[in-house]
Amino acid sequence: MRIINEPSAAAIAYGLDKMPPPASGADAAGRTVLIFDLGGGTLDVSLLNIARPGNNSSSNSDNGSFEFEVKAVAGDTHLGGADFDNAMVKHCINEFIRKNDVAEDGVWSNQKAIRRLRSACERAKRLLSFTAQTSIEVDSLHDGVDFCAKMSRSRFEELNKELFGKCVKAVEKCLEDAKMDKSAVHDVVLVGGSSRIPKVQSMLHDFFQEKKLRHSVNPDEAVAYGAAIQASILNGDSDNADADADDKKRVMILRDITPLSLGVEINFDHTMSVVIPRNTFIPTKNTRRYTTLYDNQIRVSFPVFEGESASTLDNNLLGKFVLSGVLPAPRGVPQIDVTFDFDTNGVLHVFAEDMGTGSKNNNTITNHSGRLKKEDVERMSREARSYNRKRKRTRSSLQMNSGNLVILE
Amino acid sequence: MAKDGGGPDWNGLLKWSLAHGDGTAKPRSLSEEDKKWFMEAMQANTMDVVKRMKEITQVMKTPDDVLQSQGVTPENIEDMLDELQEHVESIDMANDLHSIGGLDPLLGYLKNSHAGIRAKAAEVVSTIVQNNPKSQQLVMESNGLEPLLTNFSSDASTNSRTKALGAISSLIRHNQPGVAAFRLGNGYSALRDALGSDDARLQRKALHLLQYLLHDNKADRSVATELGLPKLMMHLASSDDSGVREAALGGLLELARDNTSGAGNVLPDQDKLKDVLKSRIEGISTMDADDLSAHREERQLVDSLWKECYNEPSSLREKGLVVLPGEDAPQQPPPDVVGSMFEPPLRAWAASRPPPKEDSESESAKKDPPLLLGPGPSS
Repeated sequence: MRIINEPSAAAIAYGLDKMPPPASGADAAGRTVLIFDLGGGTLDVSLLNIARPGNNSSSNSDNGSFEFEVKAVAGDTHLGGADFDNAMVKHCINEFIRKNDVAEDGVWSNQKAIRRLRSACERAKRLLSFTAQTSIEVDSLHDGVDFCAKMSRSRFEELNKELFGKCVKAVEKCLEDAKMDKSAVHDVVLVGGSSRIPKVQSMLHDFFQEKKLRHSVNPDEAVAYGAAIQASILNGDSDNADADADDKKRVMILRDITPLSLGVEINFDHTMSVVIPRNTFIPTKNTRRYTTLYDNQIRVSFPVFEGESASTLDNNLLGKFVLSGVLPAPRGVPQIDVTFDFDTNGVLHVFAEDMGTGSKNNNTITNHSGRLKKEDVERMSREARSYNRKRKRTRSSLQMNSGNLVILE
Repeated sequence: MAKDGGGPDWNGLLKWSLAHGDGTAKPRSLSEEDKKWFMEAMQANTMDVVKRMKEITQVMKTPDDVLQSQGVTPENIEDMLDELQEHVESIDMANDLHSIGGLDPLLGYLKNSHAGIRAKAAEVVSTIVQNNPKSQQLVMESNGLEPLLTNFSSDASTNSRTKALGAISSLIRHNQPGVAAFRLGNGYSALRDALGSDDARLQRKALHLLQYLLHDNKADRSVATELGLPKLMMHLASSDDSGVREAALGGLLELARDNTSGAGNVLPDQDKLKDVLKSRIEGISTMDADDLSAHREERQLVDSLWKECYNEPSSLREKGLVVLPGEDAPQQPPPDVVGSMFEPPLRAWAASRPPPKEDSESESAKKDPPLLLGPGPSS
């Protein structure tokens, strides 16, 4: 088990740990990432350096391991979305007092009125991330008087300009503490619901100029998302992942692989001939060539199995079909291509074609990935390891033959 | 929220604390006695909002006669809806109401036989959908606009009509399917009837919605003109109610700014409009400092409308009554870097104004010298 801090999890969510170091030689030390986390109540700014341990790029043993070093942290424990709401509430109450002949003290001490106004302001704030202007209306806010006001994005930004200024100051403080210039930052990751506010994004964009702000992952979920990826890595689910695979491909790897080998039965002794090996990424398609077992054989049967045993007797039969119309010929002469097409929905399509006559047949095995439970997969994997040891002699015998043969049904 | 039979509602407490904290108090460590008291208080006094909403949903699903036979009165239902409204002030709770099956029975209450329940239900709907695209869509999908339009256009109770209009306004703003349905549902005729009513609150809400529709849906200007709404707005610009006047002037300004039609100004009866504006200028000229502050928007609207119609500043500007000492002059702020829309000048003026501070307000009020009315500087 490993505990990682939130900024590192946010960086993992965007796959920054899998990106190659920048090309320039001066930055060979690794990738510098600024994590800007503006939530409901706090602002946290962290400067991370992501590098390989020991900076030994030739090592493959630690492909999945990167070092996250926190260079500096800054922020404000009392700055967040709730503060933007409060500024709007104060403005609205002042407008209400100005426009209506009501006692000032009465409004400020009306807790229900303030609560209702705050909820309405929060909704308006959210909508102003998508539109330029909206309305805030609360009926009978105080003394039976209605409140109604327009709120534009620019007014919202004006009301909160001091708070937005604090955000930039926190970023500057973080860089200053790390003794870094902003040009040294390679990526800026936005986390926290309030980082959706357009003004926040435009300020950071202006501050960092050409750097790309990363906010494609839902900012409310980025930290949890990154932690889940890390947990998956620790679980060994991405053993076959290429170190340079991009984030999207890695997500596919984590989710979509063939849990067991797929193949057909050959020979008299139920030999398993693998067409798609275990842990192949799906979708995938593979073809192998087979031939007849008897002279003048005109029908060939293809039992399709899944499992890790070298003998089909210990594997799971998925389906079977027959290819007809093979021209009579001495055994071993016909050339029959068998293709396994495993699509992203877990459906296995099997085709067979006689390359001499063009005769074809196919079968579809549906809901394959749903057939086996996790426990079944694990049990079969354990059994397969012991069976492979027992069947070693059979495998050696197979290697002596020049080709693969299929028995007649 | 807290699970049934579980511990205290920590998430609710966190939200409450964030909403009520101002960040000035320093954190302090709690003694064991304080911790024990606090835990007991949390156990005893927190409410599971989702659970309460589910209970309210069950009541709303119960037929009226069953409720009556159990002694539940219409006033009890209204109180329950009042509680529900408090819960759905939170946007997350508002969206959860549909998930727990409470939205459809609430919309059913819009057709309840008691006017008070119809009005209260509409008010709850308004709270649910205001600035909430998700619940707007859910209400539209549940055909909620239809009973609201029925109540708005033909409810016997003025209060119920007003609340229905409030809900319609919240439902269709920034909601193109809602605006289209409002148009098809003969909503404009109902707006005209509302403008012609003698209830200032209903008039003001109708004018606000009309102003929005005219601003964001230029195609609807011809509909409004055909129904005679500009005449009604001109009439209401002389209303005794300041809110109605302001809203009427805002609507007229939207029409006056119509640059799409080549046929010139769509405002009818220019002479009458000039008389109305002159009358408002006279009224503003006699206001004292407090009234001038309270009617800032009206002053600016009158001047803007005058400029728009007659291509010259109004006499309010000459008298120095458009921008008072201590008020910021309206000016164009720089456009948003992110926002692709450029706002019309009226809203830009408001946007550039800094938030009023209490000290500066009272200071400004005290320092205001008495106004000396006299001839302005000759040009």
